[in-house]
Amino acid sequence: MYRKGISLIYIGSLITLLFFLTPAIDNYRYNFFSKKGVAQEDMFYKTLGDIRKIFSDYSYIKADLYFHGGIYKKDEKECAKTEDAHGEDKCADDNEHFHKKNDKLSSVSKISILPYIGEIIRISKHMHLHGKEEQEILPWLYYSTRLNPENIDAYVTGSYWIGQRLNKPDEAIKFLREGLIHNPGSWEIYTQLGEVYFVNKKDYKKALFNFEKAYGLITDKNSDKFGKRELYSFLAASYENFGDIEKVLELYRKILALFPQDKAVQKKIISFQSRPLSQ
Amino acid sequence: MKYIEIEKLYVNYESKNSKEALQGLDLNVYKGQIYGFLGPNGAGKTTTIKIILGLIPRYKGKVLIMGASPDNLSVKQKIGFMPEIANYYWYLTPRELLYMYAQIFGISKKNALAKIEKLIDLSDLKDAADNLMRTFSKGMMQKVSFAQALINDPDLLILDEPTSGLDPVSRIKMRDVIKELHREGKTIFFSSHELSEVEMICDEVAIIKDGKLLRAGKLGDLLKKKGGSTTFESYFLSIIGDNYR
Amino acid sequence: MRQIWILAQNTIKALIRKKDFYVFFIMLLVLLVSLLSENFFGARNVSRYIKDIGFFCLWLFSFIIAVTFASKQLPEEIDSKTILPLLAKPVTRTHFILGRFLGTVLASSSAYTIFYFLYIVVTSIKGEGIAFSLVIQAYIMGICFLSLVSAISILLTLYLTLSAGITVSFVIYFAIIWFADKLRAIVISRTGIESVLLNIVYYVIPHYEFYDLRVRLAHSWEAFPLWVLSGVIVYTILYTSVVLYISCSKLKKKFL
Repeated sequence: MYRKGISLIYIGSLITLLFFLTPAIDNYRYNFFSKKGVAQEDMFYKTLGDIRKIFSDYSYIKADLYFHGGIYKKDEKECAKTEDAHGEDKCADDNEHFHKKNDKLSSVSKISILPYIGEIIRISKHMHLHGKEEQEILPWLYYSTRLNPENIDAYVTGSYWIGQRLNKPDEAIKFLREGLIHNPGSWEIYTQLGEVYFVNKKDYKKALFNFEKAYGLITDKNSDKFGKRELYSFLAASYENFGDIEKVLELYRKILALFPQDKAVQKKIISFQSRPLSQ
Repeated sequence: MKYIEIEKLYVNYESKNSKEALQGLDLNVYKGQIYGFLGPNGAGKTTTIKIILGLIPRYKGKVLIMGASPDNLSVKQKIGFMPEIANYYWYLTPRELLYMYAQIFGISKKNALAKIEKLIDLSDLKDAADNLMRTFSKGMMQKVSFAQALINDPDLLILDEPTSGLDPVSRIKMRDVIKELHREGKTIFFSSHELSEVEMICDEVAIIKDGKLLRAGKLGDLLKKKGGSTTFESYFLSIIGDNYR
Repeated sequence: MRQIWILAQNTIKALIRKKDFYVFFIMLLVLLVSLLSENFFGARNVSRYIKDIGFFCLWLFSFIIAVTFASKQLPEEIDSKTILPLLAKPVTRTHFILGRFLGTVLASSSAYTIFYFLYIVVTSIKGEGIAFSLVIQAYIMGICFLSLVSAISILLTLYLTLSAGITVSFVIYFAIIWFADKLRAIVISRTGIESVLLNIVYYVIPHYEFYDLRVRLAHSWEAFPLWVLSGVIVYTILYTSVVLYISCSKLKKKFL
C-alpha cells in the first residue's frame, strides 16, 4: 500500500510538472511562431476536429457572459441602461439586491416558500464589468481563437478589449497578426488592426495602410453595414489626416448610401464640401 | 426446545411463470441436533434457509426461530450463517471483514480481536489474513465464510454447502470442526449435496424436492424402513424418484 | 445506529481502496495548475476563469463519485450476494440502506472536501480570491447536494439496473439544471388551479439548481442570507428523508 501510494504521488507529480511546463512552452512557441508568421497547429486541437468550432462559439458566448457578471443578458435595452449607470450597477450590498427582489415578487400573486427561495438564490441583476475587471473576459476570447483560428469575431472583439479597454496595443497587434495568418482575407481584422494603430499607437501611416487593405478586401456582397461604416469612418479620418479631402468625401457618401438618414454624416459631407479637395 | 419450527410453509417468488418455491413445508429442528437438509438442485433448500434467516419478505405459514420471528434482531444475534456462494467485499482483508462483523454483533474490541485470531487459526487463514480478498480462490473464500459464521459464537449455525470448493484435506478438517461444534452444544442445520458427509455427521435429515418435503427423520430410522441393507445414496435416489441407475 | 455507522465506515473504506478518487484528484490538480499557469496577453490577476472552470470540474467530479458510488451499493451487493451474510446478522434492511447512504455521503463529501480545499488554495494564489462567507456557503451547499444525489441514486437502483440508474441520475441532473429556472418562472406567473398543479410538480422535482453557486463564486457576487441557507438545508433533509423512506420500503419488499 505504501509503495503504491509513493508511486501514485510520483506519477502524479510528473504529470503535474509536465502540464505545468506545457503552457509555458506553448506560450514561448506562440511568441516565436507569431514573429515568424508560421501558423500554429496544435495536436490537441487537431484531434478535436470540427467540434472545436462549437466550443469556440461557446467560448465567445462565455466572454459575453463574463462581461455581464455571469448572467445572460435579457436584451440590449438593459445593457444600455446599465451602461448609463456606469459604476453603480453592481449591488453595493445585499439589502439593495433583496429589496429589489422583494419588490418584484410582491407584484405577482403569492408564491410558496420553495419558488421564493429559488428566486432569492438565482442572480438576476444586470451588470457590466468595468475597469480592470474587464480583463476577466480575455481567457474566453483567447480560447475561442485557439479552438477556432477562423473565428474572426473573436479576434476583432478580443483585440478591442486588449487594445482599447485594457490599453495593451502591442498585445492587440500581435493577436490580430495571428488572426491574419489564419484569415488573410479578413477585412474585419485589417480594420481592427488599423483602429489599434489609429486610436492607441497614433501611428496614422500604419493605420492608413491597414484601412486601405481592408477597403481593398471588402466587396458589395458583404452585408455588414455597421462594419462597413466603421471602416469607412476610420479610413475617412485617416485620409483627413493626410489632407486627401476628395477621398474623405467619397467615403462619407458611401456611408450615407448605407445610412441615408444619418444626419451627422450629412453635416460632415456639407462641411467637407466647403473645403479644398487636397490640403 | 425447537430451534427451528416450520409449519405449512408456502413461498412464491412472484415472478412471471414462477411456481411455488416451497409448498407446505413442515420442518422441526431441536436444540443440539445436526440436521441435514438434502435435495436436488432447485428443490427449495436455499429458499428454506433464507426463510430461516428472515431474508424473504413474504410467505405463508408459521416460521419460528428459537421461538421468535425470523427477522427478530435478538434471534439473529444468536445465528451464524455460511452462504452457498462465498462472496465478500474484495476491498477488505479477512481480518477486517471479521472485525466488521464482530462490531455488528456488538462484540467489544478486545474480545473481537481474540476471537478473530482464534478463527483465523481454525480456518487455516493465517497466511492470508491480511491480504485483500480480491485475490482469493473459491476454497479460501469458503474458509473465510466459515470463519465469519462463527464470529458471534452462535447457538444456531446454518451452513449452506459448507464443504463446496474445498480440497479433500480441508473437507475433513471442516467435518471435524462441525463435529466439535456439535459437541460444544451448538445446533447445526446444513444443506449439502455430499451424501457421504450427511451420513457421517447428521442426526436427522430432511429430503425435499420441488418445494415439498419427501422424508424427514433420524437417518437410521429412515434406512430401517427401507430394509436396513440399502445405502444412503440408493435411499436418496429412490426417494427423489431419480431413475438414473 | 451502531450498524448504520459500521456499514458507513465500510463504504468509506471502499472509496479509499478503489482508485476513482485518486484519478479525479490528479485530474483536478493538473487542470488547476495548468489554468493557473496560463498567460492572457500579459494581463495580471485574471482569475475568474480559474474559479469558474475549477469549480465546475470539482463539482462534476464529486457528482460522478457520488452517483457511481451510490448507484453501485445495492446492485453490487445483491448481484455478488454479499448482502445475504450481512442481512443474516442483526442488520435490518433499513440499517443497510441508511448505512450505505451515510457511507456514500461521507465518502463523496470527503472527496469533495479535498477537491474544494485544493480549489480554494489555487484560486487564492491568483486574483481577488473568494469571500469567506461565500466559501463556507458553497461548501455546505455542496455537501447538501451530494446527500440529495446519493439518496436519489440509491432509490433509482431499486427500480432500475446499475447502468440505467447511473444514466437516469445524470439525465435528471442536467434536466433540472436546464429547466428548473424556467419552470419556476411559470409557477410564479400562474394563478388558480394551474398554479396548484404546477406547484405540486415543482415541489416533487429535486432542486439541484439551488446548490450550484458557481456563478456567485466565479463572479464575486454576494452570499445569500443565512435564512436561505437554512431553508435549503431543511429542504435537503426533508427531501432526502422522503427518498430514503421510499427506498427502505421498496427494499423491505424485495426478494433477495
